[in-house]
Amino acid sequence: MTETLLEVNDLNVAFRLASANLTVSSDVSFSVDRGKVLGLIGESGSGKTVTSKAILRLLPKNASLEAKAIRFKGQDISTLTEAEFNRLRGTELAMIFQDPAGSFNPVKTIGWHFRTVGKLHRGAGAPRAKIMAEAKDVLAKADIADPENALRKYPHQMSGGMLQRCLIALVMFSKPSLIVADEPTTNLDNLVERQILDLFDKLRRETDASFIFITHDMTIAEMISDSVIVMYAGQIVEQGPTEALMRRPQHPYTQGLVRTARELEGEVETLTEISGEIGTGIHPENRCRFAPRCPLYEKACDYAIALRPVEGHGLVRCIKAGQSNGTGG
Amino acid sequence: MSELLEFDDVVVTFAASAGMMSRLRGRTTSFNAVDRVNLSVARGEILGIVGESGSGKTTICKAALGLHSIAGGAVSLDGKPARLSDGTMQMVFQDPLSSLNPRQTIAEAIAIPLRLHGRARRGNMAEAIDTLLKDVGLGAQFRNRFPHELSGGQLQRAAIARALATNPRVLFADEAVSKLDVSVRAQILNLLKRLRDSHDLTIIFVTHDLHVARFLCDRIAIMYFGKLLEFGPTRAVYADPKHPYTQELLGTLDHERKSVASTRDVFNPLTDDRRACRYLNRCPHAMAACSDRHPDFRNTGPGHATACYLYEEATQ
Amino acid sequence: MKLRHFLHNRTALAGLTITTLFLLAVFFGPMLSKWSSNQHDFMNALQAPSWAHPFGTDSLGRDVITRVLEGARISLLISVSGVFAAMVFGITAGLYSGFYGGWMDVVVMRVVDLLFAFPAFVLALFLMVALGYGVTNVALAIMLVYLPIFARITRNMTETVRNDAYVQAAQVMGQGVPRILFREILPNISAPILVQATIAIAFGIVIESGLSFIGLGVQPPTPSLGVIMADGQEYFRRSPWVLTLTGLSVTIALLGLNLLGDGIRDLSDPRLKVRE
Repeated sequence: MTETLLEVNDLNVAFRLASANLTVSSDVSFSVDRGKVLGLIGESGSGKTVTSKAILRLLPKNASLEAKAIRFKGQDISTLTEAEFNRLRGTELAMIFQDPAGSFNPVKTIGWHFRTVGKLHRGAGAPRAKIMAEAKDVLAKADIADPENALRKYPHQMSGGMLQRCLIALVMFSKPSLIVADEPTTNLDNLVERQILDLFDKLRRETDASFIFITHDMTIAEMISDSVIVMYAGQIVEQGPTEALMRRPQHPYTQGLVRTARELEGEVETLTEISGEIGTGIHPENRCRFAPRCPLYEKACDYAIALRPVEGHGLVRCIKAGQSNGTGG
Repeated sequence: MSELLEFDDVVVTFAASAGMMSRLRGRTTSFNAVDRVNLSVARGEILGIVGESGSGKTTICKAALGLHSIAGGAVSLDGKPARLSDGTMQMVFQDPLSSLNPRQTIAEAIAIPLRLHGRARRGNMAEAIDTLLKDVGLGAQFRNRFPHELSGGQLQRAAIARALATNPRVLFADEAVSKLDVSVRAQILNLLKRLRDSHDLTIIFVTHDLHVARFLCDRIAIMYFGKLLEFGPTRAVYADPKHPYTQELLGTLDHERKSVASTRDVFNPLTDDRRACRYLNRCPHAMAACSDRHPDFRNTGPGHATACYLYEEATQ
Repeated sequence: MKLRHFLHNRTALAGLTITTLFLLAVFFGPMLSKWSSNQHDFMNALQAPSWAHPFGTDSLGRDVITRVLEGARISLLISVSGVFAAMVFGITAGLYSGFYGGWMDVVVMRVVDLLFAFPAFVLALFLMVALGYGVTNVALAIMLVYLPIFARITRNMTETVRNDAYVQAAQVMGQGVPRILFREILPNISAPILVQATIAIAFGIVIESGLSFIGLGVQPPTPSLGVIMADGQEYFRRSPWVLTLTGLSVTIALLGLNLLGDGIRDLSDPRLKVRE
């Protein structure tokens, strides 16, 4: 039986700029089940990072957040005070960033970080030897060959891949229930990227933590996640179980992304293009935001379009969803 | 196929900044970012240089363009030493925003090379600019915009238009799509393929993206820590990679296979033996000869060469 | 279009207004005055400010406001020419040394360090003693004080952008080094240089006044702000307005230039412009 760990209801995020209010995430609702991985797919400007940061309250000062509710383990965490939320963020919620170096204090050893986190979670009186033994254990689980040695090192003495492993280990050390990973492999080389993905795959099977895995890469999302959300211009355009979504994408945007990914895996002479580019800045409120780029565009797309369920699939924000590709209208 | 551009034993040396103590201890403070690379590029082909960070794939291109000085060997175009100022070789950079001068409009940026190489004068300048913009799929409305007013794909198109302004024969593209959004990548990749035919270009495409390399490139060169390890037709290399490193690298494409990559340390250019094969530390097939000398190229198929002792050296 | 953005920025607008009024006053004011700057009138010496003499008169009965306006013009011209020369040589040195690096950079920057080792005014004093008095030499002293500052700013900024892709793109295109330096790099690093220039002009006036005040700069009877203040200082107890009002004029001029500098910094980036 699945248990809902996180439930986000109508999340809206806007940035106050000198000239205008910029809505970057509108009416985003989704849930994550315990022990599952949610893939959050989108390009720059899609609102994927902002959405996840909003859940962890990591938005910059000029951002305003509105949500009907953000329920974590049944409790509405959007109404918590800053202090209460901080406690939650240290223990139950964690984030892994694209650049692991930024998450470590550069003048402290890896061991220091584990001791600090250890004291926070196991209490100040926890025996140091026990903390370090546990740290070694979790580093070994993160495929670090010589944990003893790693604990003595400073962040700058490690390669990007090793540091990302250490960060993942450090996050797992505090045993959070939900881990948000924001493009954790984007700046890594191919081989290391693959290793880190393998590590995530292993962790999700070996722990009961849930993951929100943010990526722009369809094939990575396919490899790692149980269900997928595709965001475009601040809105969810499609969501559903990974397999169904990848096999029969319903939204023209998702169809384009999946097609490009599949074409690059195979051998084609020319790639099928999605024309145009995601608009920057203010998106029209009462119109399909993908309409300017959509091959299936018609008059009816000039109205606000709601997410609606598609049989055996999930939710899709397109009036043509459910019809077979390209023949609708 | 006629060879257009040739890299002959090219060496590019970087000075590593080391502390005074290690200098006193006699530790070497420079290393070859590109180490005796021989590579020939045929007219009209798209050659992919594939490698991870530190492989020297970008450095070798910048050396060919005179942005790094060459410490040994030579680069020749059509059998003659490559001249750097005549515009026959151009480059498209990874980050399109920083590759365009923020103070120049798109039209100004394109006008400079046109004027410099005498390809347009005051009278037909506007027309020449519009033609170039049209070639890369941009409308005339972009002429008077500044770089920060364009989106990523539009910027990369503008950067390509500017590169085409000198009427180059060779275009180096350094990770030209890796900073672009996924939905825009296909547009630029198709554009490059189209331009190769319409503008009689030879393209050297530097990338770490194995999918992109397979789609775009006719031939592939695999580099690892300054050394060229394998070179051959894309289809042959992907179907049957010969070098253990290429096998490991291409193995990441197979999502069904588990833990393909070795977790052992990579080559360290400052501390490891530079005479040995660069891949020695990680290689599952390492043998005695590997630590003596970096292997020479062996013929491993039609037009396919691999620098590895696993294969027989050609006798003829 | 530029002016329109200027008018929307309050700092820039205030700086521009004060500087413009200052310039208009010093270049046209003396023409409108019914007195001349060297017209002695011993009967009316050391008079307090009045309608006829808004800043009063000095010990020789000369109209102070006329002298201040004319003196300010001379001070300004000296400062501007000194700073301009400093910019020409400093920016050129900085561009080349930042772009090429290596031994050239080492030599240029050590010379700059040497000049930097002296406090600006001490350096100016030393130069005046070495070069001798006079208007040209004050300008020369100001140039030598500011040359290292412009050289260093330009060099540091050049170093940060010289490996930018657009500079490399210009090299690949076959553009010559001078063109790359002055057409590609300089426009992109001009904001801090321009800000420094307005500040330098302001403090060039201070240096000129200081040198003339202690008698090493412009020599009387030529009016310059320093000369007038030196005069006023002698009679400060009897008629404080000469020194005070002259000093106040200098302060307002400096304020205007500094605000203008801040405004230029804010506005010189095309990325800040709003699309029409």
